[in-house]
Amino acid sequence: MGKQKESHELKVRRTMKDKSETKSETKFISTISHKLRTPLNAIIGFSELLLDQVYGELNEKQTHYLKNINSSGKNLLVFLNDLIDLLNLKWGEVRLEYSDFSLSQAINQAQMSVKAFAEQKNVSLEVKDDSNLLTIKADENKFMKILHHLLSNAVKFTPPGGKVEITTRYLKGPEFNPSSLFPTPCVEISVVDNGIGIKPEDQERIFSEFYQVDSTLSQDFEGTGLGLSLAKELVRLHQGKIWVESEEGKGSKFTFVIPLDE
Amino acid sequence: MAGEKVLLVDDTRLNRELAKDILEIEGYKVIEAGNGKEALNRARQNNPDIILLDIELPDINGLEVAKLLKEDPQTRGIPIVALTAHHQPDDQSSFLAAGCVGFISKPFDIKTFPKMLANFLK
Repeated sequence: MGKQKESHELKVRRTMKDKSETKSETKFISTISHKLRTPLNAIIGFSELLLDQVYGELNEKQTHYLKNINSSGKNLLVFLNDLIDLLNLKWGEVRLEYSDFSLSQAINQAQMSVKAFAEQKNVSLEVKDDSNLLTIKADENKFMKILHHLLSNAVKFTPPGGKVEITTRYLKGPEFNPSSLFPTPCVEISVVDNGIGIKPEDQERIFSEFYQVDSTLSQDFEGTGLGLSLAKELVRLHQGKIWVESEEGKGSKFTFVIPLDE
Repeated sequence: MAGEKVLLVDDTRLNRELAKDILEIEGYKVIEAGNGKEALNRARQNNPDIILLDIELPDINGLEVAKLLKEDPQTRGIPIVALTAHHQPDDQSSFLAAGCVGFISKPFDIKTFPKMLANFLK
């Protein structure tokens, strides 16, 4: 009894310590975010204001340099947002906010978030929604982030003229489908591209932070290097699974499955 | 946008300058404040149509400033929009709880920034 009580107290104390640590880490992350965001506001904003030429005409070189400053600032902001998300997922406090939302609308919105990038690269985006699900229950915001990261990864590694397709399936529980990974009904979303593909030995590693398969590629495929690890963390938070099937030179298929019961 | 008066509160000079320039291009009259105390004084003296309030201020926290403005009958009716570089979901509910009608996060897009402000003025 005594021993049991002691271990219980120890556990309580440890949980309390963990909580206060999480709190100070959350504060730390929030401070970094604030400190970096404030000067970025000036970098992005002033360069944009000058590019608008409200204060006079710019010559070609000035426009070019200002565009460089502006797009670097924006890239840094995307990186900062991804980094803050990842730090919060790893060290901070992240809660899922479940709600019922329209699957097709969420897919649409995620698609919109990469539309400009896809158009700029001449990559077409398509959706094949076979799930017949009107609504699903998940954290809508985080669900869209998962999809956004998979889509932007797919567009990034697909050559001009290529195609990125989103497919969905509804998976019943094992009583209907013994091969199902989950005991409860799930939704399965895949993002399929016909891009450069991934070697078998790299297929697990690409979910690690900053891991890029070939560093010589990173010049051409500039990104934050955090998208896939963020997607993985967000899927894990939903008690789901994410994996990739791929063949070099032919393309990749990223799939995630999340249970539909909270 | 017929010359509405905006009280712009931000302790970072560069960000204040940026927001002021954007708003003046759009035809707003801008009054500036660099800390919480100034914000309270200017709000009482100038009776602005709307207040853009940075949350991280050196003297009085922006949330506290918002509460004080909402307690004062003279300034109670002025809509306050939090202007913030914070990005945590918890922050957002605290802005509303302090009496803000909404928030604009930094960095803001210079095209959407005046549109968002105009929406809050409707």
